Amino acid sequence: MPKKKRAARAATRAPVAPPAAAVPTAAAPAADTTFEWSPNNRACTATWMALRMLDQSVRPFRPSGAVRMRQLTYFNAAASDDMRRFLAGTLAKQLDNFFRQIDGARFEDGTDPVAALSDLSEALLAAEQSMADLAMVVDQDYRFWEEDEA
Amino acid sequence: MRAIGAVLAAALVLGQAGSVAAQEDSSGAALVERVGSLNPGPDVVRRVLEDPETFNHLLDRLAGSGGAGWRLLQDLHVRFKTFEAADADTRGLGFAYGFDKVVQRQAFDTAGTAYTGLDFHLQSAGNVAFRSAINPRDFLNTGATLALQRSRGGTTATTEAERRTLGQLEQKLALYETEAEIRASPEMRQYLEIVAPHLGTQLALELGASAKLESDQKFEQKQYAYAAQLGLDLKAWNRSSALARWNLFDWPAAILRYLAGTDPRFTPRGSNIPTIRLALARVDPSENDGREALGVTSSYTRFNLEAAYRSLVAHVGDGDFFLESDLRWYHELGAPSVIRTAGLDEFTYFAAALTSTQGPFVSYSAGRLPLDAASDQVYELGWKLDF
Repeated sequence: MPKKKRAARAATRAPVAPPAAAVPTAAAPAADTTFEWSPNNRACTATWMALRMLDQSVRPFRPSGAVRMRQLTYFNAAASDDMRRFLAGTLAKQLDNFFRQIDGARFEDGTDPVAALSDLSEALLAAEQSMADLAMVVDQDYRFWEEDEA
Repeated sequence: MRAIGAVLAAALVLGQAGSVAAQEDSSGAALVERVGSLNPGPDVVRRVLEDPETFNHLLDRLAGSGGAGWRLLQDLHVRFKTFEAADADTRGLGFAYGFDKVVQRQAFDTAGTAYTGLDFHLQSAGNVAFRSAINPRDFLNTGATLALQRSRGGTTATTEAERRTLGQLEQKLALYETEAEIRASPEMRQYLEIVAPHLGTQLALELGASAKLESDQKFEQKQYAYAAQLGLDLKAWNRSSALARWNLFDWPAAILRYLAGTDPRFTPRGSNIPTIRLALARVDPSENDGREALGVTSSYTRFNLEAAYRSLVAHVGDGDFFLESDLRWYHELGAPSVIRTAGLDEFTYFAAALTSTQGPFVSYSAGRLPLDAASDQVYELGWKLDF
């Protein structure tokens, strides 16, 4: 797992959208208790929108934090584990494409393509992990456009 | 026994309380208070012990979420379930497990959308019934795979101005409370106008070599398979592309999405073109009763094919309905006539399900996997709960 983002940078991140208080956050499970499924976190909105554009989940942002990996379109419970691993790898690569090519994200310091893809693949394969958990992984590995300005 | 039952009953209560319980105080004191008030009798204990969700809930708590919990349990995915024998009169508890751990990974080409890399991973998967006689899919496989992975395409790069706009649009869209508001919003229209031209077709290939032990759950029957394998995954992420529009496999689902009002127009998707995995294996049937009884114990060559498909068929209210299917075919090349006559040269397994994120599901599976004693048809109609 790559190193965590500096708390200071996250704390000083300028919200582009209205203040978080105006938008209740979803009660999504996440091991990092400081991580919040919030529209003010670019990793959350980018993960949500990328999965939407890739036909994986069609829901408004707020409830999407609690959507589990097995509820995404790619997660075929009838298939073999080999098949699911292969499917997760394809989707992980396309998410990486989406973040870097379309959203313009860059890797965090200390993260490289191998680490980022491994983290994405592992998260996608964990059936009970939520979209918020996936966004937390994305937040740790990618630095998005507005985050550079904070 | 009473103490174990009390803990399990507490786990069930916590599970039934669902996500609310997850946020509440689940400290030792609170747990003891809940258990004390239950005072479970033998019937309650038995019901709790027979319910696979009791064990699933305990496992989820042990494994934790997003990094906490026991590392082994995070890599080893176990789900308890109820098995039903072919005669449908006998039921019993068991579990499905899967373990897949990438031990080593190296990338050679990561420029743009390209990726070429090498993985070495260990894996094990199967179904285990506590009473092996009622296991309808008695097939475990354990082994190691070295795989070369390659992915090309999928997106093209946006401009810096477009990226800035997309970031702002994403955060505005995240504030809408309903799907109808999002679809009708000018922000969504603008977002699609920018992003759609940058979505393309992705081709992912996997070329691998594997060594696996295939067995029944008692390891009384086992064989070794050394395989060369090829995986093909083609995804046309842009719905306007010819590949997406002519994805005939998705036409039935596209019709259902249109009829359900999920899609405003008939819109087949290229994101769910079936994925295929092929393998050519040399199988050493070291302890295979069926073949031994026929006096054929020499190694043989087997061709495997697996095709998987899953697609959204309706988004109704807050729930999604999916159609998913999986076909696995094992065929022995040049099988002796005695093997063909005994029906041991070919194994076909097919599973299909209509599932919902809201709970209800219908599933059907038929056929058998290698080492299965008989071909079964299993229908399931049920309700899955999210704890």
